[in-house]
Amino acid sequence: MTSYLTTRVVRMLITVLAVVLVTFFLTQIAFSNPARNLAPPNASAETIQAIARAYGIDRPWPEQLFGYFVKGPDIQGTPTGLLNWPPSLGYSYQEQRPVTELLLEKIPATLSLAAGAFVLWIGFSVLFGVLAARRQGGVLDKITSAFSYTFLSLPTFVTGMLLIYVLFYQLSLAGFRFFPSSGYVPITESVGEWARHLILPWLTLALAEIAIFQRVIRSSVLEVVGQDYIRTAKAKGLPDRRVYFGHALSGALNPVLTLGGIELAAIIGGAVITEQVFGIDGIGRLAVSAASSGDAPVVIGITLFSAMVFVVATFAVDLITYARSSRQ
Amino acid sequence: MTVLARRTSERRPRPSRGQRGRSDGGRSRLRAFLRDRAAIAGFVLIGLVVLGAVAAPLVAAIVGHGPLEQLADEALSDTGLPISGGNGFLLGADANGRDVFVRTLYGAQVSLFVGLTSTTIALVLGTAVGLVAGYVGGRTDTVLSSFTDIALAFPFLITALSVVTLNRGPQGDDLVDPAWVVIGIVALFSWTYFARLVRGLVIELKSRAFIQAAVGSGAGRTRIILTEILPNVLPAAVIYWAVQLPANIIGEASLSFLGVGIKAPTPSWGTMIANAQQTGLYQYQPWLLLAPAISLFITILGFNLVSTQARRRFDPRSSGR
Amino acid sequence: MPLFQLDAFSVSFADPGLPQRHRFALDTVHELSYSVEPGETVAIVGESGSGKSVSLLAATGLLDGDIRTRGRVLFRDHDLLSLPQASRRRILGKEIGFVFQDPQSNLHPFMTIGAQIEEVLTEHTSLNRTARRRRVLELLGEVGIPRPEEKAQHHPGHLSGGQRQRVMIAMAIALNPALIIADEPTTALDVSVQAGILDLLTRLQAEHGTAIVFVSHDLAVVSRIADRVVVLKGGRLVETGTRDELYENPREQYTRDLLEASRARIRPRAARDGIRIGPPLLEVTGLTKHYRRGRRTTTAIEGLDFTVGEGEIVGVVGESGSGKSTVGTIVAGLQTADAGSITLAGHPYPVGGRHRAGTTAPHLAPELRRSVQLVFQDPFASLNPRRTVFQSIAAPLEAHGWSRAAVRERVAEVARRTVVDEVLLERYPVALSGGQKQRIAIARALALGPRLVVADEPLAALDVTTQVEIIELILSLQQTLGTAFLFISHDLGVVASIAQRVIVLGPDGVAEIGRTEQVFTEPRSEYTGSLLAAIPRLDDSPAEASR
Repeated sequence: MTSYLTTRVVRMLITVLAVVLVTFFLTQIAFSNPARNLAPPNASAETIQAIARAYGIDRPWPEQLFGYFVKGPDIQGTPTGLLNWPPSLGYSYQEQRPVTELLLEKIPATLSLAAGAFVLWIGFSVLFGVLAARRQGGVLDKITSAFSYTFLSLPTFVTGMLLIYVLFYQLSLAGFRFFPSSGYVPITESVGEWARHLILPWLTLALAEIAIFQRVIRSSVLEVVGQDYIRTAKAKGLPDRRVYFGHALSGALNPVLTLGGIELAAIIGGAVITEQVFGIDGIGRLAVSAASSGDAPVVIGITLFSAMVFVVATFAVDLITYARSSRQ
Repeated sequence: MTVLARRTSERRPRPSRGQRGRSDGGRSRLRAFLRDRAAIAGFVLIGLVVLGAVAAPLVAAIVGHGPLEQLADEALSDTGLPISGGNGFLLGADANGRDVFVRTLYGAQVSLFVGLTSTTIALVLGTAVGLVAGYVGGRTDTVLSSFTDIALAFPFLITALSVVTLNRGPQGDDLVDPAWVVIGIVALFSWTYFARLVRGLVIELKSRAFIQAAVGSGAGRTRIILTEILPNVLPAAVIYWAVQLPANIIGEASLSFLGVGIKAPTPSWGTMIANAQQTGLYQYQPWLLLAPAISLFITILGFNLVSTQARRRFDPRSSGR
Repeated sequence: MPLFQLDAFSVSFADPGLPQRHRFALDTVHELSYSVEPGETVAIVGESGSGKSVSLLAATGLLDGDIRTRGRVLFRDHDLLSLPQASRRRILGKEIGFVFQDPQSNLHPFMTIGAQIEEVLTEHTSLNRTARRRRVLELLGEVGIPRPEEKAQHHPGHLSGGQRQRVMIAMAIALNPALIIADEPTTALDVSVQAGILDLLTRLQAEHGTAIVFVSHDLAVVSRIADRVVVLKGGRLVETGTRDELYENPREQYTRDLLEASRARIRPRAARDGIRIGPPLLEVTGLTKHYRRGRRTTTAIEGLDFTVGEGEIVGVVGESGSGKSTVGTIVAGLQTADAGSITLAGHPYPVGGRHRAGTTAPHLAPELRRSVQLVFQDPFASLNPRRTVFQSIAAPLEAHGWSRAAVRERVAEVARRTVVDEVLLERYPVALSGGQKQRIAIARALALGPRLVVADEPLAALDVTTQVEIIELILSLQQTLGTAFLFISHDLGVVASIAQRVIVLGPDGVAEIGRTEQVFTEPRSEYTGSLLAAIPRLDDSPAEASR
């Protein structure tokens, strides 16, 4: 167990490190002259040079790389380098603020979005997946199947815009103004407003995931239902509820967990689009504006953040699967 | 000893539907698949989209509006808002006075081209990596698998946003056709799924007796991979190609929506929807949103229907239900 | 009044190939009638496809899928088929207990065994938690599980096959049911374990007066336990009678054939055939193999010496974990031994060294590689589903660079030798029966004209009558081609009827090596003796067994 854990953790670190390295070089090449973009359009070469010096982007790349991972010069009074405590992710050119601070400010919105969608997604998927499997070919199975096809075939941004069009625009025209079309209210300000602003984004994110997941749960439950131990459960005279939600679901969990880990991480990607559609000021919008303005430290920071989410999610799933299989 | 020439049927005591279906030959399964109502519906939808893509230049010629032509006089009302129909504009016009119907048809070309090409590249790349990693195993597998893990850990959209800027020339112009950049990005982010799938299948196959028999008969590694393993892996990979295709079409649309995929004025459904959102004009001219949205929906639904049914019928790992 | 009774009971599966209206036209079980009195043991006997399991599962509502049943199934005075689901559930688990074939797949892998037994009590009684827990431990003790408190916390994966089957039995008897339906309860177990399970069942029956319906393909097992026997074939009743009537005076030819096939299997191969055994072909001395998993090392085989003569069949018997398959794969050149020396017709095998098991074989001299081939246990897995029979048989020839014409000729030749019909050559494995597949696997092994064929449990997945066919085939190949076989099996009966010499592998290494007749009639080791005693034979009487 310990040796498994160690190798697993080492591999996680290597993965994150590799992702950051690749992104570092990618931004080095892609954002070829960030200082020019920061400078006013008619700035002189000296001004651009001065700006480059101020952000430490005039130095050769090995020095910058070292500065990023270990310790770099202070920029605008902000220490840089991952080996500082607390680790610093650098300084955003665009926002003129430390990246760490910027991320911490934007994460709650994205997290609220992801967490709410996750709850909806898991709850409905399990419920409908198992029920659809219980009466294969029944009415509920047919309805959930049509539902899946529909939302599997709509890109997130289309779902989001259609929801806005119907639930915000058309309802507003009809005089019913409950759903806001955009914006985000922190949970610390008002829980009700927080939820009200997030309902449509949650739905947008969750619908597509439920579409996939409900089917995955259904088919892995069906797979398990053919197993001998389900017959044993029935032979014991257990009611359907126990047979399906107890025996079958717990037996069917492995593929569900695996996909769950991957999708949980993918939700960050989905958040980029959802935030864009609903005007939520989170990580995703920050990423879009940073990438288009060539704000390398922010791009690297966000990539690092989402790679960590991915790695931790898959690690958690592996741990659970491992624990389950070692019990077997 | 008496020789009993009787043959008993080999049916196992609990034939589940999947097992029974599987004992038929491949040809009868193909026939059943082609008769399946959901699959037929999918083929019809895909046929419609292909037809639209092929007929786009023809329609443009008939109505007399090119996909990039701005016809402000005919297509914009006095207040400067786009019309939502009439005047020879079947689905109205956009803010620049371009024919939405013609642009939607041209959008199908982009969607299909990017989707098909990127998924095929991903299939070839992923299958090759999966075969080698799964069969050779050991250190090779560790290296290739960590490679796959790393590729999976990249946030698709965020990285894609920066990759696209690579294509920006010194004067802000594109170095290569943005369609190829999108194809490259989408393929880069989807080969991993094929690699994982194939690797898993190969590892499973490797322990099967017929591979052991081939090893025991003295066949070499390459021969075993090509003649014994590949034919068993390919059908699943091809089915997965059909599963991944709609996801990749969504990928292109999402990139275009975020403004880093196909660039305006080239018509792409993603850019058309982004345009509708940014201008907010879809509240007056709903076709701005609906035309590309419905087209995307039909395309993806068509491929989803076909791939789900194909998987149900042909994938040995799916339960056949 | 009978306790349990089938009355003109028929089961049919929907056949997708037939028109909708007639899709239930073919009966898998046809108008089957028999009854079980309280306290009685009735055995249902037949080969696979006879409907012996299907009929009982359908009768108790445990068969899922698109099926239709006709007739009546009476338990006491309830017709199980027309009973509402809720009432039927009150009977299942409480008044009818089930024991299924493979305890590994029949227990939930992620629940502790204690929880799985407790569930029956939770569902059908109003006992509180402590009382239930106490009863679970009591039950585990009753079925002979040592240290019940500790074992109750275990998952099925940590138990041996025999213990898992005991857990299944504990679950079945938890509420003292009037009837236990046991579907091939000993088939998946080693011989010595099998005897223990049969003893347990008979003991419990004597103590509680439970009736048992015992489904089996094995007439020898049945003869130990049954009061009455029902013989099925193709879903129909062949004949029924008391154990003695049926075994001594079978009325039907089919029953006679089954009995004969069963007896033949435990008749040691005498010097009945004048096969001349040549000088030693395979010489093995000091064969040793360890497996390393993490930091633990287990010894698969240590210091094994034996020889196989030209044209000789040598049997290797042992229970699971005895290392018999390891011996097979080493001799077949799929992995190397850690120590010892092996030569085949003077060519030495490589010993030690590292190579990756499974994907690459150790490097054997081409001459050696051609001389030894392998036949596997499961004919379903040993043929590539995507290649035709011809391609499968031809594969080893192509790998050794034969010309196309030579390949064609050679395939036809081995197909004739192994009685594989020419029409089958263009088919894919899905269209073949188990027996046909195993013939093809043997044909493939013979393609290169090996001098020794290693057959690893080649009969384990086959029906009795098909087993007999394959045994006949191997014997005829030995006679006509002079091929030697190393025949690996867990089944002493099969080995007795085919091998000239036998190697018995015990849990602590080699128990005995000797001529078949001697090993089976005057075993020199205690382990062989106990194995032989555990084989159910047709002449055991139920009275003796239950004593």
